[in-house]
Amino acid sequence: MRGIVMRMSPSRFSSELVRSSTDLVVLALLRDRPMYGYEILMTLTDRGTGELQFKQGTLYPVLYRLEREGWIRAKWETPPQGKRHKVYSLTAEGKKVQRARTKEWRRFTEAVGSILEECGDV
Amino acid sequence: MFEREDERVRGFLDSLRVALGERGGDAGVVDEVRADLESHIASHRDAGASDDEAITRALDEMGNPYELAHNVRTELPPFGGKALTVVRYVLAAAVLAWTLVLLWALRPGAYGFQPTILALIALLHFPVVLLLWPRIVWRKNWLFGVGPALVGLTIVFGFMLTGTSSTSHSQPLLLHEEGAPVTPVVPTIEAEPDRSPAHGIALGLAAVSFGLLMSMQRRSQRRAALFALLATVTIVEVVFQTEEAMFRSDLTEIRELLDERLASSGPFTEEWRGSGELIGRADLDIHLTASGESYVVRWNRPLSPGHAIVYSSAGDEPIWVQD
Repeated sequence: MRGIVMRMSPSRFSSELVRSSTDLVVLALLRDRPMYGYEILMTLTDRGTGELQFKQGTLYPVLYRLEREGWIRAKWETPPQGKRHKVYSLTAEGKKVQRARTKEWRRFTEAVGSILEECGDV
Repeated sequence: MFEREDERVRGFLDSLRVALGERGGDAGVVDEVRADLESHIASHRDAGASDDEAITRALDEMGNPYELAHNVRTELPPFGGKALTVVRYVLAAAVLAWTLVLLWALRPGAYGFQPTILALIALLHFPVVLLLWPRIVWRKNWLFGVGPALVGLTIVFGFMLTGTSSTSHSQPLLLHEEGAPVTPVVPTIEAEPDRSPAHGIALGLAAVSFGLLMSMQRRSQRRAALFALLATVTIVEVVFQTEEAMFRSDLTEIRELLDERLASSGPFTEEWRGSGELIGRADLDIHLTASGESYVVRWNRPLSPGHAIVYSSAGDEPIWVQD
């Protein structure tokens, strides 16, 4: 993880939009590798356009909900060089859900985008 | 500076702990937030911020502790107060102990491994223990809900209850009138269907227990629950299997003696019943039958004085339990 910390600013998107995509984003990030809470937040900032951000406090309820859904699992780990953290990783079911929701999201954005294009809004 | 730093972070975490109540401590929320907060502060410091700035930014990005606690509470199950938790532990332990007592009391009534009895008793109580035991995190997305489990139980139970029917033929009746040819009439008698509800119930209970195990979110808790179930059954079974192994070992010795006696001297000349003191075993009763060609060995189960394992040298099922 890079030592450079980007200024954390509130998301520029509406809360409804962010809420609808948070699960998918977290699952997609964890598909790459297991991470702890703060690490997920920092990786989110580093990926894509960097526009999708949310406060650390809003991440924990998301993680606990995904864990209860059975899509991620949590384990306390102490890396060779570092402090003990609660690390989250995808379960087998979580991987399936992540793949399915990614397909769904692409279809959805394509559908919405095509309508907006026809309406001359894009 | 360091005192102030600890104070602000400590203040945040204390507020979070109080706001979370039981849920914070049990689920390790506060520990997790502390660890992440420390990493966050360290990152800001590495980026060149001062200690004070680093803490301010990290706490600001963490948000309000009461708001965080409110959001977390909606996602974590209520574990109940300390008093209720203790009561649940006690009740769950009592049910587990009762299961052991029941298994211990029923097991001596049979000889050999009895999977149906063990399954019935253990699986009847296992779901109760699981539901009573506090701190179990149940999945939000119940793949095996109560409804499907009940349906499954009903289907299995019903299937097992239908059983099979069989027919048997009686002796033919010979009817004849004077001068008429003999006409055999062979009535068919329907035998009673072979019903075994115990197997159906055991299977249904197994389905319910499996459903509950799958509904537990944490793998460590699931493994612990399965281990507890197997340990409960294994403890009782191992003890009585050991007892039965001792019986079989003694029986082999006795059979050799008596079979040798029969072979060398022919049938026993008279019916005799007595203790095994003849062969140095006061805990055995030996009965030489009137026919002279068979014998019965009876051994009082040391772990269950009201029951005895009996062996007969004649008959299809040589070993059974007498109470």
